[in-house]
Amino acid sequence: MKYSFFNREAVIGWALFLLSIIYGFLAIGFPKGGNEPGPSFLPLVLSGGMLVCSLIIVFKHRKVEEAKEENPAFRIGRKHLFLVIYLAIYLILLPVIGFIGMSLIFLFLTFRLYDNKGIFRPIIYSVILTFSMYGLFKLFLNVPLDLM
Amino acid sequence: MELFQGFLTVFSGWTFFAVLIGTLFGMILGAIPGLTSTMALAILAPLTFGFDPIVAICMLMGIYIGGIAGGSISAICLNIPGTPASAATAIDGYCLSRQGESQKALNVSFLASAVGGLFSGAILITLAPYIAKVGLKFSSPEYFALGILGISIILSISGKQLVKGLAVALLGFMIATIGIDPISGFSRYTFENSNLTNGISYIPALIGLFGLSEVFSFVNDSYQSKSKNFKYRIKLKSFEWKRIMGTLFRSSSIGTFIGAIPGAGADIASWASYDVATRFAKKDDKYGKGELKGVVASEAANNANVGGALIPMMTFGIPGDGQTAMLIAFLLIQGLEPGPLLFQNNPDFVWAMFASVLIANVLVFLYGISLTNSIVKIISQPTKIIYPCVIMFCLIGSFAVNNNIFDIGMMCLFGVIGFLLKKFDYPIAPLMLALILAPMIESNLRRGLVMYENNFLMFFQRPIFLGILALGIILIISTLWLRKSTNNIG
Repeated sequence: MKYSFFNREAVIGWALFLLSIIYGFLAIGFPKGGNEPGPSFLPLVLSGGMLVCSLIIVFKHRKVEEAKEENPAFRIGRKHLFLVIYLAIYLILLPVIGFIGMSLIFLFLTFRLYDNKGIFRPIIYSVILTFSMYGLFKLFLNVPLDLM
Repeated sequence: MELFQGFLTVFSGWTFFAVLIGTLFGMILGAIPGLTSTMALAILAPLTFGFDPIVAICMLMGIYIGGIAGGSISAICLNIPGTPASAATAIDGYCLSRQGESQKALNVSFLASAVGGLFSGAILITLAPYIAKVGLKFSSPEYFALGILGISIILSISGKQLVKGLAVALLGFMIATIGIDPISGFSRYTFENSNLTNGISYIPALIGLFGLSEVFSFVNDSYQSKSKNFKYRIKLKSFEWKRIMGTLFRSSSIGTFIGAIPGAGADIASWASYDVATRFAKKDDKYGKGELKGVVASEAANNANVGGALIPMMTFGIPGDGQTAMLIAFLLIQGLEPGPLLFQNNPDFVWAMFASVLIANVLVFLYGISLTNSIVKIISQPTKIIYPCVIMFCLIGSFAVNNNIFDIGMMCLFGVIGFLLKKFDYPIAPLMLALILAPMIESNLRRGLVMYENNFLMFFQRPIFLGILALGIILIISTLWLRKSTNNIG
């Protein structure tokens, strides 16, 4: 059995370790309370707890196990990356283009991402979905989608 | 009398219509494999933000109850449990389906769901007001202990991944400390961003964790289920009624009891009930090969779990599972704090909600026997069409909370966090519980310390505080035992 403190699982432990250090470091700057523990109390306790948990995770997963068969649903691939990029673009351009225009583009790309082949079907689905959502939320439920 | 008033409220105006729609949507979403009732609540809750709180909560109760019951449709027809709580239903339900008795299995499952739900609803209505009266005697130390009791749930819902569950819960606590400190008013971790001043909004976070993260999981894996037509109706014969009656009421009791244990959840209830049913098996029972009593045991218990789970949620504000956490988040958004004061200050709301629990369970049965064919057709739509629709609901839903684009960004961030947690086998539920419980624990601990001049040991001189801590220890042991025994069956 091989041992490593930097395999995939252990790296998450290190990330949590780093998080607990930064979180705790920021908490030290918070004011202390008078007759109660003050705003720094809980963050410091949490930081300490996370520090211990992260080290346990690192030590527990230091064994490099043989590659297990991964659930295909959780295998990070190109499509996950694209979905994140589409969402980021949606967020950035939404205030510029507006709800209807941006949703049409976003949904077209997303339908294509979910294996809807061709051009026409994704376009038709996007148009129907965008306008149904607009009708439901803006006209029926009064959600101010114009502010998006 | 108060319940009668609750029924009058539900049957006036739009409220009954909201329960009708909520139950139907819940059943459809619950029946779609991969969409759990928690996710149904997450993506449909934003539809209710503009409604009157009573109309909104009644619709949400319909979604919750319909979502749990709907899971049996795909379990029986497609052998794919729509929700984890219906996994036990698939064992006998799908066998019956293969033997050409799918309609009978579905009818029995809806009947069991309705009876289980009504039974637990009756227990909820009877017990909750008395428990809430006890809750009125609580002070900060007791509420702190209740928060700790809620945190003890993390031990049970983390299963074998205890350290990972604790790490995720701590992460949730850390996120919950963002914003203005509840006692001193000092800004923590806001980095002078005004969007963070009031902390992270629960609903966008929960929509991301339960809605968007699921969409991420299916981006590589779209499928289409095969639909079936059920053109014939089959009525149960009188001897079949007699056979299932015992199981029906036993499983309803088990489901209600397990539901009232925070952290146990509907899946444990259905497996535990199925296990008990097999222990009571008679010679001619065919468990595992198409036994109606198997379907009854699982479905009565998982719907009875709802009324049980609402007891700690309504009386003390403790979320026992994902769905009740979602309901608490919703109530907080509406400016209503679940707990004993809700019974005192908003009795109309409470009794209308209880009435809607009973009505939604009756609707589950009526929809079930009349609309199964249509629901099976809807759930047979390919996921490549359903999931982009879910993304749109997530995006607009998170915006609708505060009409703020920042919340959409938060929802996306939590969606990615939720997906990564699932990918690396970290449980998500502790993060959600910590987000909800952190403010309750911190503010009550600090208020209690102010009361006792910073002497925490004084808390232990309060009998109710000690009683709640003892209850927490009993709950941890009993839930771990239940989980162990249901894992052996599952």
